[in-house]
Amino acid sequence: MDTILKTEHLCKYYGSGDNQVRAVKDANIAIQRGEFTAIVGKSGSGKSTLLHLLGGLDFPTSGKVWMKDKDMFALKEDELAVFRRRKIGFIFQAFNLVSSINVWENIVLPIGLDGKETDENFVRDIIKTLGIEGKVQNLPHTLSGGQQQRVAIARALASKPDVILADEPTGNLDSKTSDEVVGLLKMSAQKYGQTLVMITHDQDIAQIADRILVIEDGEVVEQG
Amino acid sequence: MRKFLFPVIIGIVVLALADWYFITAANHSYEEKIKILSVMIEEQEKGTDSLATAAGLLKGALGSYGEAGVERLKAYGYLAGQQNSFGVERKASIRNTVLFSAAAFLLYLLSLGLLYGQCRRQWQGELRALSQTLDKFSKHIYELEIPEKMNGKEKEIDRIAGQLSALSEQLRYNEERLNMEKEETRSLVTDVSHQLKTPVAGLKTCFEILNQGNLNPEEEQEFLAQCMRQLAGLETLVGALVNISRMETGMIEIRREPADILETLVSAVNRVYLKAEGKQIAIEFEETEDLKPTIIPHDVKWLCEAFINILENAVKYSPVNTQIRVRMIRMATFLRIEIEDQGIGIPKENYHKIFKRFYRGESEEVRKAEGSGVGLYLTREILERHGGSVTVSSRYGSKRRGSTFVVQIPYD
Repeated sequence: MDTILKTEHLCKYYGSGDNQVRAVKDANIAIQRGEFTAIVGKSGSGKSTLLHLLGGLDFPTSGKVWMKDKDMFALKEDELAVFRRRKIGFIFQAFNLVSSINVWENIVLPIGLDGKETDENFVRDIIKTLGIEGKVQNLPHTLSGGQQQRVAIARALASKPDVILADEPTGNLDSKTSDEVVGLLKMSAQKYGQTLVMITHDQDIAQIADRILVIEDGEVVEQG
Repeated sequence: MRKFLFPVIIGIVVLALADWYFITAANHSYEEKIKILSVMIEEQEKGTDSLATAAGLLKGALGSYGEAGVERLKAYGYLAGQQNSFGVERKASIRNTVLFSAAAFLLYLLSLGLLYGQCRRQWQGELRALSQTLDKFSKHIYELEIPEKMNGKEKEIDRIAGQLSALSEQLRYNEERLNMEKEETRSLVTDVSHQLKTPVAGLKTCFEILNQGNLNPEEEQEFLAQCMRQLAGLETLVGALVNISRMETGMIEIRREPADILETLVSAVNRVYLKAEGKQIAIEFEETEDLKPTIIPHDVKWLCEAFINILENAVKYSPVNTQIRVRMIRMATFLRIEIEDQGIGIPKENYHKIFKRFYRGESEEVRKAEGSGVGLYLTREILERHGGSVTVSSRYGSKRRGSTFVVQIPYD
């Protein structure tokens, strides 16, 4: 299948001299359209830095990130912001829901930011798939962690991005809920044809992915 | 060309009407002048002075046509062949009209021609672009050769361009899928031949030794038994391969129909029951309050197969006198089924490998046991096609021996 996300000699170093920290070293990865990739690493392995680079949230020291045929870091800052909003959906450990608005508003918020029309049927279908149809009027703080993460997943899916990047999506969840949330992530990404990249330290949930990459001391290797 | 026939005919008609009008006007003016002359001749003969005649004409009092005057002019030969200055003037006027209209018509034709040429060139350019695109398609290059400026000019072409663009996406997708399938088939064939090689070679060696015939009866028996073992292994392997190839070539279709999943699980347990009993392994359902009928759409036959694979492994790799515990837990979206054994366990670094096709553990216990390395692979395939998942959990592991498999199946 075709490659949707690719890095070329991607490096991210912090500091200099003896204190230099090499968070990501010469990463060359290619992610295929529709694939579910898990990037597994311990804390401090550079996995979050890698995900931030993939999502254009952070600039590399050197190297490139291609999304389809766009060199992400060749874009101007404001172009990159628009590109990110349209092409990439983010899911974070901390859910990052807006506490003052209800679940439905949280889900459609990014679509509104982009001035696009909300495809209401599509959003309702996602909400149903994720099993939160009874919660759309609720405020986020009235939901359990698992439910909040479902809302965050719905929000990421709703704007129909090409790629969804999930940074420790189950970090705040108990183990059974973690399995379920990742199962759901896979099921819905499959259903809506989206490409999924998930960062995790949890080998258990990584098994659900189609493919596992391991990052250790900034170096990325395929898990054999 | 045909669409230019209409403007040409219209042009001809318009010019013919104009010519007709101008020629009629010229004729009319000639006749008027002759009429004035003949009236003047007649009035002269009546003795009216020419000023009074002119005044009469201007007042319209002398309406009748001067036939007599005409006769007189004819008699003098002025009217024959209109050989008079008015006649010449009339002819010149008619000629000018005709010449002018012919020139106008030519100019009109020329501009029509130029317009046509331009349209045609653009049309041809667009057609050429389309044809180049199709040429590329036939060479498996799915790029559009269509210039930007075409957009909006011709609606039809625009639509074709749109259709081509969709087609190119479709073709590209098909080709990629085809390549992927080819790749998968190739790796399947490689894997299968690799798997078959060892037992076949073993079998061949046994037969060769038997064939040499210099064995005592005991040895012969031993080699025959060896042959039987190799054959049995081959049989299991072939059975597994048939399943796997059916699954991979899409001959197996997962048909999800509402059914009680507990029944499916129980019939899977029944299938391994004898083997478990033989090793005095108890299979127990825990958390019985959850064990009411659970109707979930699933493919009974294949999901049962998936459970059997997990349970068979549990039995195979557990020592005698142990337990296998099965738990069903209702989660929000998935039914979670945990199958926990007290067997040899799986090293953490191999968790993801066990679901790979033909992977078998490296430990001595695994190598001694019969198996093809297909079961868990098939299990994962079956569950994924149900929209679910299967993983092996480390979360219960650290203090306990054994493995816990976690199966998740969506409620709908």
